[in-house]
Order: sequence, then structure tokens, then C-alpha cells
Amino acid sequence: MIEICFQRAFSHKTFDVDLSLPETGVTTLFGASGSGKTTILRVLAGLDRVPGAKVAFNQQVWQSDDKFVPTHLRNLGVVFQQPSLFSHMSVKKNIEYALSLSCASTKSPKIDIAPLIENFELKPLYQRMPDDLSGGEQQRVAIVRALVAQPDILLMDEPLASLDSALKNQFIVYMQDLLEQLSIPVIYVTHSLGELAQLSDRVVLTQSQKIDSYQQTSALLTDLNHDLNQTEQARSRLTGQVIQHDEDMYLTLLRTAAGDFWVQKVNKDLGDKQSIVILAKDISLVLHKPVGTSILNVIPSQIHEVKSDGAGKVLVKLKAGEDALLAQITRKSFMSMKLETGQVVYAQIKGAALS
Amino acid sequence: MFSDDDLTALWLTLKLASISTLVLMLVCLPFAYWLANTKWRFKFIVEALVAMPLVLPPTVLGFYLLLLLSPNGVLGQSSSALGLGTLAFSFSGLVIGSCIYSLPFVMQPLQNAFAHIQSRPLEVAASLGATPFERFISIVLPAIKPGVISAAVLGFAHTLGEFGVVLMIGGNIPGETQVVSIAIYDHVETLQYQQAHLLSGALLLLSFLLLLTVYASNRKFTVGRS
Repeated sequence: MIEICFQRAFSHKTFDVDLSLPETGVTTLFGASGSGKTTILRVLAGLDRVPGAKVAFNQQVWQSDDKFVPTHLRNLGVVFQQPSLFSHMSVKKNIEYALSLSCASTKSPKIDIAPLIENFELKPLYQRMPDDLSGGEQQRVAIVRALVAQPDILLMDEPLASLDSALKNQFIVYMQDLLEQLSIPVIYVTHSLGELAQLSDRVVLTQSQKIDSYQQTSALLTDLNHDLNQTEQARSRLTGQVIQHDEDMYLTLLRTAAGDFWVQKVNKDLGDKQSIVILAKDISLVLHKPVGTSILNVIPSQIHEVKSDGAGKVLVKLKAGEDALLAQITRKSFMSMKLETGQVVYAQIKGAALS
Repeated sequence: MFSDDDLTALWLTLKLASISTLVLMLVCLPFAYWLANTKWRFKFIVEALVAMPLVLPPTVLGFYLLLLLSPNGVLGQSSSALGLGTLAFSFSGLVIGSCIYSLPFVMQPLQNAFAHIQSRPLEVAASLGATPFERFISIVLPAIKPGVISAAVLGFAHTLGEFGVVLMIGGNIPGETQVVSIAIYDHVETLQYQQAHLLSGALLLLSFLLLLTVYASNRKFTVGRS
């Protein structure tokens, strides 16, 4: 269990944090900038010392009224928004510096370093100095550097925010693979809905100095009453298992709680876990099971909840199997199809939209 | 070539500059670190005091130092009480004078270097498990290295050229307080231009080489960072 509890006075409000997080998977601290999410991370890391705070990790007290464990004695890794490599050391020296401080020799390492360096393609960068690297390359080094010290927990403060958007999408793939394989808990700070949907298992929302926790990221994403989910941005997430590859057609079949989905081929073995994020605007609804359609995925579902945005669009929350999907349709279609809560419909999603 | 007296003066000057630089570095490293990091509201008073030798005529500085160091002065009395002998017109007195005279040249580059250390690399190092001492060795020292070189060389070079303060508190005792700048003055007074040329040329060359070191190391520093 990770416990963080503190109060901090802001200009006119107090920010009241009382969090208990499980020590597995990826927990996202999500909120606008200035909402206090970075503060939570820094208090957890011991980089900010807020008087009266209580911080504990796995039965180790890191901060209490009469105790403060300094950062270097908390076995953690931090990745900041700016890559922050040591500019006077080559990439290799940066990694070796972290290795020399790691306590890996005393216990069996939880993180396998060699494949990490391989996957993040660091070898070709080894002799270069940080100033000669692009922002993306620097951040790759910074992430590996944080992990080679064998931390018990990884803290990431908007690690993709300083990258340009083309690079960001490429980087999310790196991150997805990495975070799925890590056996240590990850606290991930972001204000990007895309990163939230693709990377996190559960969410702590920090909004205007208030905190809400969601056990499942998908539960927040499909919560129609949350102002986070404006129609254009709305998306849902499903997690499933790879059950079949179609090499010829370059497709993979995923079994999720909402049904089976054909998606663009993923590089995973049968039985591996894989998540998909589906934008609400990529889903259309039909009343009867269609025949002769180019749409690969037709999922029987039931209308659970409906919300109109007052601007000609309607967000429909569908119950599909044991999970939920969000579909965005026009108000005109909604009226002419005479849709209502409880009705059974078919959700159509192009396989090409799922990558 | 150099006469024996000239060689003695050269040797004495180098010894004075070396010892003063060493003392100044030891005093200024922690002091500059404190100045760069303190949030004390009256720190500007300390900064102004440190900068005083930059603007004061050396004779003014020398005059007050002479009063302090003389057998009736505060420093002179304590030194006699400790059995260390008198300070005025002695080599030890010169070291004290030089340290004060060259203080801003050592303090300011160091303070600047400490002030420009960014907290982020230190936070990263701490998160990787580096103790405060390890962080000082691996992060702080490399970051302030150009500042340390500047401070040491400037302190050394500035002490080489000291004249007014030495004349006021040290006089002109060969082997004890006669430094090169005084010896040159002596030679000119007695119309020994040849000797004055030699010593002046030596000082000119040495100072130029020292400043080359400072600028070369700073240039490397900026290229490496950008």
C-alpha cells in the first residue's frame, strides 16, 4: 500500500490529500496544471517536505511527525518532464552512474536491464553527450536511467509533455510496452486524456484542489456525468487477451469483456494482455445486425445512458458484455432511430480504427 | 639576467600568491556556497563588504590594515598574545593583506558558480540513491569547476600585481616583504631600467598566461553546455 496524506495551503484554499494506492499497476494523477498533482508526486519522493505530511510505502514509513526519510534513502525512480540528464556525462556514463548507485547486487533484480536498453535503443547513443540528443532520445535515456537503479516504485511527472506530438504517439507505444512489463508500481502524472486512456490502470483526479479516485480508468472514461468527457474527446478503453493472429490480413483478434475485436496486428504472443482505446466518434450504431458490411467489429450492446451536448451530438453509453463503450452519434440519427435507454443495438467499429 | 634580489622577490611573490590563493579558496568555498544559497535578508550587506576591495584605493585598505596589524592593533595584539610575533612588516601580515585585497576576485566567481547550479540534476541524483556527499562529488563539483578555476587564477593573478597594500603594511624588506611590484618600483627609482624591464616582462607574461587559462577554460565550458 502507498499512503500519502497531507494538507497544503494555497492562496485561498487548502489542498487536502489523503490517498491510499495499491502497490501494483499504473496509477495516474490526472488534472489541469496547477491542480497539485506534481506536489503529490514530490511529497511522495521526498523532494518537497510538507510539514505534517504522512507518507508510507509498503509498511516503511517515509514521513511522519517525527521522521523524514530523505529522497536518496527511499528506493524510488523519478522521471521528470524535462529529461534532466547529467550534461557533463555521456549517455553511457549517465546509465553507469545509476548502476553504480543501484542496490541490485544485494537482492535479485526486479527489472531486467539488458532488454530495457535494447527496447529503448540506447546502444547507438552510448557515446553521445546529452546536449547532442533530441528531446525524445534524452527522455528515453532518462527513463532507462531511472529503472537501472532497481527502484521499488517509479514516479513519472508528465514524461511525454515536452515532446512534440508526432514523437509523442510513437513514445506512447514504448511506454505501453514498458509499463505492462514492469512489476513495480508506477505513479504517472499527466494532463493528457490520450496518455490517461492508453497507459493507466486507475486514476486519481485532482481538480481545483479536490481529489477523486477511480479504481478503473475505464470507469472514469465512460462516466457521462464527468465534465472530462466532452463529446469530441470521449473515448472508452477495453482490456483483453490476444487469442488469434491473422498473419495474411495483418489482424489480431482480442477477447475483451465487451466481446471479441479484430484490431490491427499487434506484436504480442497468444494469451498476452492488450488494451485498446476506442474514440466515441469511431463507433456507429445500427438497430439490426448488419449483413454484407465492411465493418469488422459488430458488438451487440444495450443503451445504458444518454447525454446530449446541446450542439447536435449525443454521447451514448453502451453496456456491452461486462464492459462499457461510448458512442458519439448525431442528434438527428438518435431521433430518427428512436433510440432510448435499455434498447438493444449493434455497435460498429472499423478494425482500422483500432491500432 | 635576474639578480639574486630579483629572484628572491619573484620567489616571494609566487609564494605569497600561492598561499593567499590557497587560504582564500578554503575560506571562500563554504562562504560562497552560503552566500549563493542563503535567504537571509541582509545578505546584501555582506556582498557589499566583500566587494569593497574592488573600489577602495589600496592605500586606504593598507592604512586600516596597518592599524589593525600594528602591535597596538586588534590583530597585532592577538598575534603577539598567541606568541606568533608581530604582523606588520612581516610575511604573515602580507598574507592577511592579500587575502582581503583579493577576496572579491575569488568570492564572486565561486558565488556565481554555486548560484547557477540547478536543483534538478541534484534531485535526479538523489532519486537514484546518491548521498549528499556523492551528489557534491559527482554533480556539484563538475558544475562549479570552471568557477573554481576562474576564482583560483584570478585570485592568484591579482595578488601578483599587488602594490599599494604591500607598500603600506609590508614595506620593502628583501626576502620578507619585497615583492616583484615593489622591486620594480625600486629599480625605476634607482634608474635600473634593464632590471625593471626584466621583472615587468616576467610579470606581464605570467599574468597573460594566467588569464589565458581562465578564458580557455570558460570557453570550453560554454561550448560544452550549448
